[in-house]
Amino acid sequence: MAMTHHDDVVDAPRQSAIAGKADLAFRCRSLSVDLGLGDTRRRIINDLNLELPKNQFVCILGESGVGKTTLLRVFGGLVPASEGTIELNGQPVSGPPSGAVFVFQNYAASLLPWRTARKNVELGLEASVGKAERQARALEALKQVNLSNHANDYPRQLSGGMQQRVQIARALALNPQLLLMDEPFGALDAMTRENLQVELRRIQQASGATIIFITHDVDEAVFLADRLIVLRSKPANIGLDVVSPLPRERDQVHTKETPAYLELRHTIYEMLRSRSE
Amino acid sequence: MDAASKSGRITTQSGPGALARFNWPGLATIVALIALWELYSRTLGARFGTIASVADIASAFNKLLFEGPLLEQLIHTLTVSIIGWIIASVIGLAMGAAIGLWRPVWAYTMASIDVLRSIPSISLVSIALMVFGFSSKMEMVIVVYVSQWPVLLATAGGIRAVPGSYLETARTVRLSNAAMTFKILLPGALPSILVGLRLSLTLAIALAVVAEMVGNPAGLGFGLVFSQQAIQPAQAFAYLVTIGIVGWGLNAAFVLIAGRLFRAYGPAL
Repeated sequence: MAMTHHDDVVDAPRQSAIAGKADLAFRCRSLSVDLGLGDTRRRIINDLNLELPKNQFVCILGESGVGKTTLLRVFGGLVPASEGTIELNGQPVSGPPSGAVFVFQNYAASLLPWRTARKNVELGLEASVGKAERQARALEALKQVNLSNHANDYPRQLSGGMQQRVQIARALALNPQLLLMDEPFGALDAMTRENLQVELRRIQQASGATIIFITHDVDEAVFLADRLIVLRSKPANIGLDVVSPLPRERDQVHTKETPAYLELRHTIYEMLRSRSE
Repeated sequence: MDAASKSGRITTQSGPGALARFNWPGLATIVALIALWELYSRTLGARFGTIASVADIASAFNKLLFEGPLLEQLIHTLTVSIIGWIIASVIGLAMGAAIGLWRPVWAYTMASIDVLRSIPSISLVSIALMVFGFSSKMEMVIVVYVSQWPVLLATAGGIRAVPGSYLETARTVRLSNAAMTFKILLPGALPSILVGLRLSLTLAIALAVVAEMVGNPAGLGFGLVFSQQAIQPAQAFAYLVTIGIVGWGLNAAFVLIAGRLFRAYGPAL
């Protein structure tokens, strides 16, 4: 790679090797994915290797159409891998694994309109958890996303940002070890999005979950991530994998003025530009 | 869209009082039409000799209701329509759910269903008459057979049309197949199913009346044909009005009950 890393930017694979296997949450080896049938079948992802520890906020960036969403859907067990293995806490992933929850980009289409916010959040708990505990956990999850006052509202009565927070609460209620988020803030206005970014980092740190967050917004990725992965095309593979030098505590104004932030942002933009040329 | 649905909520939950919500312009049109009919029946219509005035229709209605068989006939038609509709709905829901949920069932049955339901329903009355004779059984069979199709198709189609995003949601929170059916597919298909049920109700009343007109000597349809053959225009019109009120009333009751039962679906339902 013809690029210069800032001194603070440590290669992520090396760092997770240091962290050791005990903390490993998620691993995929030689992952390849083919989509389509017959003549239109083509390789979307080729020979991708990735290891993620617990409690890490990972942002995956890449140009539009590179296969970010497909990769995330494979991680979530919604699309089968064609070759290679995926493991979550040592268990091979085939179908949506326990402990991993997907947060979809289109919140309006993923909340059930006939259920209130609380009942939407309870959806994943109904088979396993008694009524009283289920309600308590749903309300706790709604509290985490600051929606306590809207527990009995239907999705149609909530704003877009609130609907997406309900979807995040639904995932949190399941105490996931891995949250898979597919451009969750893509359809929201700038102000709502920035507030949710701060909230999401706070939630991630409180819960200790590993988050894989897909976005095509460089600023969003740099602000959110503990670790950034840029996909190169085609078929998709990891082009850049760096650990963020930013401190754990971040805010929208000051963090974005620090040299480390600007440096990292510069690195990512250079990377994306060199890919598109 | 958010703003629209919110304002919809306001009018249903905390809107103005019943008096202000009442459709006064709609009522005004009905009153005007009745007045026009009265005028027509006394002027241009009079030369037919068979166009009854509003006053004559009202008095015929009164007489049929208190001295004649109207009440008994009304109860008969209502009973057959409602019971037939309920039986048809149960059959339609069960078959529609099976067809919507299992791909092979769809593949095996849908072609036959398309052919069967395309037979104009009126033409089945002759066959039913031949098989079951001039009886209420014939009437009930016709009602059930014809009004099962809209429910069946709406249920099967509604299940198939549940957005893929709901199914992916169900998968990522790891619902079982049974939970997927009862918590996602059927509730997701409900708005479509309600449309089918409403269509079926309208059909049930129509087919009950038709069966009574040509086959079963009972009910409002029989009363209507009897009046026509006796050349009693005021009576015939009184039956017509009664049938209209039955159709309107059952439909209104359905909308009211469905709206109450499924309030969760919001004002769009």
